[in-house]
Amino acid sequence: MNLDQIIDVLRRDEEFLRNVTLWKEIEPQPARFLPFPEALDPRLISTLQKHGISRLYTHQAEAIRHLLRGENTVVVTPTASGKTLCYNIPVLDAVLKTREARALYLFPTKALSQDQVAELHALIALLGAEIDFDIRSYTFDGDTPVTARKAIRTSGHIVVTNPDMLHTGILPHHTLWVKLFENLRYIVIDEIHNYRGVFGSHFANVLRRLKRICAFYGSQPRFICCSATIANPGDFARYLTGEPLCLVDDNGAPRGRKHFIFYNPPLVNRELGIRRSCVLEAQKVAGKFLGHDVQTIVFARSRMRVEILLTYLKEFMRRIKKPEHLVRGYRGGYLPLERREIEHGLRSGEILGVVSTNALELGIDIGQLQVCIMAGYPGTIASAWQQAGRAGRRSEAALAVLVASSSPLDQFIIHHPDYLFQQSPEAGIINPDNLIVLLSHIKCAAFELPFAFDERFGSRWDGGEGVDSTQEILAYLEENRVVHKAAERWHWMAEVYPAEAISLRSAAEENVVIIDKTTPQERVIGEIDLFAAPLMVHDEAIYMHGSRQYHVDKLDWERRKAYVREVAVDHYTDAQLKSDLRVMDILEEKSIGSHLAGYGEVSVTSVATMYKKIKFGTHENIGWGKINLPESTMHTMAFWYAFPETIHEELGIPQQEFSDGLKAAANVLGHIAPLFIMSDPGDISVLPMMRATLWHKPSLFIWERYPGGVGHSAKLFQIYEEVARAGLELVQGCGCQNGCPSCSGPALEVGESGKLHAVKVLQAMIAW
Amino acid sequence: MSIREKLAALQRTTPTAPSPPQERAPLRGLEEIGLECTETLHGPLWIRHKRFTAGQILPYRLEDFLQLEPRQFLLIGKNHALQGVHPGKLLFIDTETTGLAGGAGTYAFLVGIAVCSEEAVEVRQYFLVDLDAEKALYSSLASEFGGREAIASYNGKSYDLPLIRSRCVMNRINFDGLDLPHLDLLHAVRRLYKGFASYTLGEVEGRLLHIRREEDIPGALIPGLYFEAVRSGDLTTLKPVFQHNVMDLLSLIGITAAAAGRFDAHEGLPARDLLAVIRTLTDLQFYGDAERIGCTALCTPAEEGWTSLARHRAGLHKRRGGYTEAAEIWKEWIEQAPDFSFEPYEELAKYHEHRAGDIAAALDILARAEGRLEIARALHDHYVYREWEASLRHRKERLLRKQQLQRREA
Repeated sequence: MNLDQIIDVLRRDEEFLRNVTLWKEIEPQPARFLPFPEALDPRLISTLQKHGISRLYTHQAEAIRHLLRGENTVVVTPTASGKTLCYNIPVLDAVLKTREARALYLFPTKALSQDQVAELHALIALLGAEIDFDIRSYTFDGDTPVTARKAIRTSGHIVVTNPDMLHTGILPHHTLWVKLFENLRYIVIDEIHNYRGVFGSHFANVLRRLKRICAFYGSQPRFICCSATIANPGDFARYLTGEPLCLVDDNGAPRGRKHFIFYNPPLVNRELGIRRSCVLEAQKVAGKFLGHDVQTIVFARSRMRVEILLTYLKEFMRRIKKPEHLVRGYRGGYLPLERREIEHGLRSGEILGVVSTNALELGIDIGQLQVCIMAGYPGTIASAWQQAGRAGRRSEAALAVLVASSSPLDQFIIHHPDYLFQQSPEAGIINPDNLIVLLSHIKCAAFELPFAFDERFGSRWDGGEGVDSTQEILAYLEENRVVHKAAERWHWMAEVYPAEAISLRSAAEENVVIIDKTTPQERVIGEIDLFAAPLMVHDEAIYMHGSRQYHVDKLDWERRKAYVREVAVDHYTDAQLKSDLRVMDILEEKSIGSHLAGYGEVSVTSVATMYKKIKFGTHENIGWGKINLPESTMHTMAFWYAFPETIHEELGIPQQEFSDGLKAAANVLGHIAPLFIMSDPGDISVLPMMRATLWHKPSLFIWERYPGGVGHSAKLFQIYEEVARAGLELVQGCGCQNGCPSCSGPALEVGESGKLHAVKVLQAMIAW
Repeated sequence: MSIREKLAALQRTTPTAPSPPQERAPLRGLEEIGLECTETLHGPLWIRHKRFTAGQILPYRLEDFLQLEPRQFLLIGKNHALQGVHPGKLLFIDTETTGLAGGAGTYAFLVGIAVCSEEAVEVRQYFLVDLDAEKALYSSLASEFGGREAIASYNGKSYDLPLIRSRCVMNRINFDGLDLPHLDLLHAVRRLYKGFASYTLGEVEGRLLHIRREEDIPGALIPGLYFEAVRSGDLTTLKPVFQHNVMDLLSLIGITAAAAGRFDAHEGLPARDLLAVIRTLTDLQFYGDAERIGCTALCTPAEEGWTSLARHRAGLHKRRGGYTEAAEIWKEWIEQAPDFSFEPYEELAKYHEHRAGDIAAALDILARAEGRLEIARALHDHYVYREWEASLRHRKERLLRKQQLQRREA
């Protein structure tokens, strides 16, 4: 059977349809073309024409036209829409016209850059027939041999690298890269939606440093950014680059017919809202296609799930008497050679099925498959579309299935498909001015070039904007004896190399290391940030890592080490955290009648007091213990919403139950907010307070778990009504009786009426 | 909240008290160090001049250096570009820097140069009185390089010169002199003197010039002293740094002369050092000199490096068609070597077979090898013996077949 026939069968398969909550057909879209812009070098046009590209898709032509006019451009591109030409054409055009011209390509991961470089090389090879000099493109990263580096620095027209290498390896040594920086015409940043949160805030500062160095060498490169669909691609690219950009988002690439199916596994425990495992269900669905030789990709959320799914699918292949090696796994941790082999097998069709983490979500070339199955919502809408985009050929039908897990966000998405198919609410958010991040990069920048006394870090090419507190921060660094104020400028004056100590990707400055002592050979199995450690790895805690249980023998708080031992027990531990939040500085606030919403700087103090042992399955409390750890404080940002003291009367909630309602509403907001701010659930925390300090009113706080915050609070302040509305939909749409972990939290935690009260509290946030 | 308080809160530390704005203190200690001010286009520049006449504190005879012939620089540096350099036109350079980390934030705050004339060594130390003064320093330093024929340094190829180059880029200064031929004495000493525990300048000058510095400042303290001096304006604490820099420069001159001596007075050198000398000559294609030295060298067989020396010498002859000479060396190798190695036997067998056309002699050599191999294997069954045995048997069988064929033809 081919895919169309399988679709016909599925449409009559009642057992399958029972779990399908949505079956959407997306109509095919024909290609829309425009001719090559005339200003392009004729050699480039003729080369492309000779190799089958006779005209451009509209979005490609539009992007190239902007760039030829010297305008920064951000292109919003679905998977397989030919985005690489949007940057390769203007870059090669520049090199053809000025042999000295240079470009810098930045990719978030190494694997991705290899594939894009392969495509670029192919195009350069074709051009070779038309020109009498070599266009050189090189990858410069941690794997580049020292012997090759000099040639890359001086003669590479196109240098492909990643943010980390730019930060530690290129910018601090800019005097070795004079040729590149003097002649830099374009900076290409692919997959910009990946640069959000802490990583993005760091990266924006790396770009500030890059622009500063370009200015020193007299170049003003243009930015070419590519983004998956998010709510604010134009603004986001502007936050990141600090420059105005033209937005190109009208995709002219063709698309075949696509079926998008939402599949919600049946409930196994209505009370707790637990459904059948999405891994098992995904395996069952995948079997329907693999069994008929339809090429299928299955995405799972963790490496471990990839392995489990792979085992199941191999068993399935054996059962139906097909070679099990037709299904392969793909994830970080596989050797590069093995990955290349799998990618090749997928392109050639030798491999029928692949189970992957989000590693294959990015533009690695595996051709287009017919079916994509997501075992669980991938965490963001942008990811969901990128994964679904792996299935879809231009002429044939394709199918994507989202199999939901029991988690609140999965359940929300599966019941509210509009968030996926209409306007995406996800906004990329960064805060380049987070003081800790900023301080780190002003250090690096001072190391790279002295600061003038009137300089503002991060100013635009036209000199506008820039960080107000630049000079104040430099003065602080002088007091800390790393910069020195000479007659005309601030100079770096310390023996250390600052970029080395600053990681772009890790958030916490300090972590607790988890050490497994099960065998005499001690080994480190993980890390946990200092703020979460008292909850997760206190003495006697049961710590879950992967699918294993560990008993924490000792948390050595001073040395930041937790010693654990593998065990098999029938319970888990749940630590009680007593938190206090103080508002330090109100940045913005507004009254809505007698209600108050705002955001600002806060100080959160937490202390873990005790823990309960909870039995699996029955959730019985089978014991407890005290936790003796010092309290920890984090200075960060929070959004808040404060109600009048009499709110319970207005809402008709008994006074003694109001705190349950507030807690339940906070749980809901905590679940749903990541959908709007594109964060991991662990990046924010909620805190309901019956009498918040400062205004002594019942209040809800959503605070950021990174010191200083990365902009989520400010965003929540703008959109909290939408978030509350979505939260309301989540609770009301949930099939449970009195609240469950998928919505307002179980009754055990928020009381029998918690769910009911949460609805009222959330409604109160919107009513105005 | 001020930035200071916010940062303290974020980093969970107590805020530092703001220090009152400091007036820049007037510079002190300039005269004590002997720094003199010159006005340049780019502002004032501070230089310390020193002159050391022959016999004055120098731990070597200045004539030894001044009498070096142009060819000797080529030998020490193993670089044809150094041919024809005159001792008086060689510029010695050494820098003191703000750290070893490298990168655009590292400065050279003291650049010392030395040149020699008949009467004396002239040392000039360019000092960066503040970090803003680089333009004056490097544009004047560039003129020092005019009329010079080459640069000499200790590890300057990978450290001092790239740093100066980087500073010039930062200050937009053109400095062509940096491209002069470069004699890096660290490379030279590493090449010509084997087996030192370390090759720090201190270790090397101790070995070559037999001096030990007293009260020398440890290099690791230097950046900190400079930072402190710049902040306080009091330069007197830097005096030992200037002294250290002078000592480095003076040593470099002596080390150059000593290294050149390796190519003249090679008698009594350990075998591995002799080999180093011969290798250098070979690489420069001075085959005659290489053989002249190699000939006298094969006298202390038990020494480490002797075998390599024999192999190198024999190989040298073989490459140039001197098969008889090579055969002599292989014979001597067999006689002298305490350990069994199949290599000289095999080479001799090949020589008898292919060059001398004497199959019987070749078989005779193989028989002797067989005997030695048997003993060696009895003592210690090393895998390489088995390999040699196989190759010996193979060669022997082939020779026997060839011998039969010849007899039949005869």
